[in-house]
Amino acid sequence: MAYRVLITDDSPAMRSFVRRVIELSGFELSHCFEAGDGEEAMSLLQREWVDAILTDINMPGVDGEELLRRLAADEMLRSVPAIVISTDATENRISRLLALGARGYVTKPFRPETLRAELERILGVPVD
Amino acid sequence: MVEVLEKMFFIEASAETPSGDAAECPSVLVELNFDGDPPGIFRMSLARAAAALIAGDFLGEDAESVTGHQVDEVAKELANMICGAVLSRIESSATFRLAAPNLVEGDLASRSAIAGTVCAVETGSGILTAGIDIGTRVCSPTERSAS
Amino acid sequence: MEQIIVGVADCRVGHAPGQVLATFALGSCIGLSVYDPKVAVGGMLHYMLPDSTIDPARSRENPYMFADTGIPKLVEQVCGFGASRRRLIAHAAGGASMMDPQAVFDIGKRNYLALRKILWKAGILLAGESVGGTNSRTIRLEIGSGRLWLQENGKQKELVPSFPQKGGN
Repeated sequence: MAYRVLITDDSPAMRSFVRRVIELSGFELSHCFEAGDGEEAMSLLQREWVDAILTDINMPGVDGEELLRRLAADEMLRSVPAIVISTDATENRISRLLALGARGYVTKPFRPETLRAELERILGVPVD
Repeated sequence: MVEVLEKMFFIEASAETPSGDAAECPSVLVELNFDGDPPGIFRMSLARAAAALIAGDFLGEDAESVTGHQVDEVAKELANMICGAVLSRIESSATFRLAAPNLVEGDLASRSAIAGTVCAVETGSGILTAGIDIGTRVCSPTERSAS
Repeated sequence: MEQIIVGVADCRVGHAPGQVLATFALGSCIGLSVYDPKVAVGGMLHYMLPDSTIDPARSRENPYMFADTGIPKLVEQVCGFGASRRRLIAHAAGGASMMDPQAVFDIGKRNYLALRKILWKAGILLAGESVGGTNSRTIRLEIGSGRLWLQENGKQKELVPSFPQKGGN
């Protein structure tokens, strides 16, 4: 199965890193979309379907938290699993984001294998 | 800081005593403001040669093939992560909110620009110095050009 | 069963069922095992030091002594027997602090960080690891089944179970 994913992060370096982890995890990607903030992500999601969204939290403009709110409010998009990738490791923040609908949470810094495990949990283990 | 360097940048960092005598070399200096209780500014300085190697390692490429722009972007993300990791460990009544990291150009881009509580590590290819200055903020490039 | 011993600063490949690769006494050294279940080809490297630039002449003599020269060679060799880099399942063991848990020059840790960096650059993620601490380790890889065994502190455990056998014998 070929997946379509969206990576939302204002850091191009981080987007490259995450993209590489997804590719090396054995998931076949038919499309890997990138967005620099929540606004760009929502705009893209109006045009394209994705199987998973990976999002940073601290972004200028529409941040990750607001993105989660908008996804939850959208009838179609609320079923798309979102994984948060953030430097904020505080329990309060994590609980709040999970309550907003995030299906997974990966704290930076993380090992590539940690993100892979989260992807496998959400999408299932890729088969050859 | 060590955890960030080890987990995502594969660097075994050893503590370095900040020295005023250390020779200045071309450096990348990143600063970012954060809001919270208390607010402040985080700065990180890294020898440019080290920054290029680190960028290559992070992106999974050879250091020679990494562009200057990519080096800058990786340095900004490294600063973002170190700052975020440090702030996550501070007990605070408010959530810290990090602004986007900015590169500082020209004469200001040196280790001596790091103020506040400072920590330095030897990355194996150069020194990384980071500091948190609580209670101060710096103008963003937008604010500077507007003034 | 044909047991193929991987010595210190050594690397071996197995490509026939019935072969078992094994390396012993992994202290600060790292044992890296890679296996492609589709073609049942596997390899094992036992390296001692992270960085060959400290002794380029030695690394030319024996690339398997160092992480940065040994790991690419291991991958090249298993791929030479039909393995695919994308399908490789990698496990690491070792990287312990053998002399003194607070050792200033922690070779074990440096070896481990070198492993992670080089695998990341080579495009291979680890499927599992047993690293650090102070115990010596032994690993065994069965080529026919892909089973990987770890022995530590007198106890043996299976890190990877058999892969489903595909096709005929």
